[in-house]
Amino acid sequence: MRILIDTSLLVEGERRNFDLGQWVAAARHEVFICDATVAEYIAGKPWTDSGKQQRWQNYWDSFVSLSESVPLDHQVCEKAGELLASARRAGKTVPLGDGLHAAVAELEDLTVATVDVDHFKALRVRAVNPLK
Amino acid sequence: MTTVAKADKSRLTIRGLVDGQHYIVREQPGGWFITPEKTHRVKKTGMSAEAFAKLYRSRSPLDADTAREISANLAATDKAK
Repeated sequence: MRILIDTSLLVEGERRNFDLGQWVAAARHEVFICDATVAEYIAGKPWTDSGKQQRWQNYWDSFVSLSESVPLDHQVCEKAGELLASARRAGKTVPLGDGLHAAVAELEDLTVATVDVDHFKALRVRAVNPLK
Repeated sequence: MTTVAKADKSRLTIRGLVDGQHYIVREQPGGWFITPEKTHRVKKTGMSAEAFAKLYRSRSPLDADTAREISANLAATDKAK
C-alpha cells in the first residue's frame, strides 16, 4: 500500500513505543511524508525543557529532516481548501494540517496512516490507524 | 467569455483556446460549459519499505514525555483562536 504517515502517528507512535519501521516493513508499504508534517513537527517544538528540546532536535536531525517530503504546491493547497470546505458543509471542522495531508493523499493516491482517522473520514480520504 | 463560430462539418471554433490543451465540456441547462482540464499530476515515488525501516531504525527516538509535549503543542495550535 502507498501510505502517507502523518505527524500524529509519528509522535504518538514514539510515545507508545510503537515500531513504525517494523509495521512498514512487514506490510511492504511504500512510504511518504509531506511538508505539512515538517511544519507541524517544527510547530510542536517543546520550549519549557532543554532536555526535551535536545531530543526533539535529535529526532529531527536523524529522521524527519532526512525523509523525502511531498511539497505543498498550489494544486495541493487548492485541493485542501476544497476538502476542508466540503467537510465543514457536512458539519465537520478539521484542522488545516489534516486538510493538507488529505489533499496530498488524494492527489497522490495514498492512504493516510494516522491516529486521527475520524478527521480523514470527514475529509473522505482513506486512512488507517496502525496503533489500533 | 468568448465567441464561437460554426466551422465546416458542424464543428465549433472557440477563440482563445490553447493548442494541445484538453478541455472538459459539461452540458448545462441551455448550453455547454467548457473548462480547461486540470493539470495532469505525475504520481510521486515514495520511500521503499526497506529504506524507511532502515532510516527509522537509525533515528534518535523521542521519549514519552517529549512526544506528549509535542502533541500538546500541536493540539494547542489547532485550537488557536
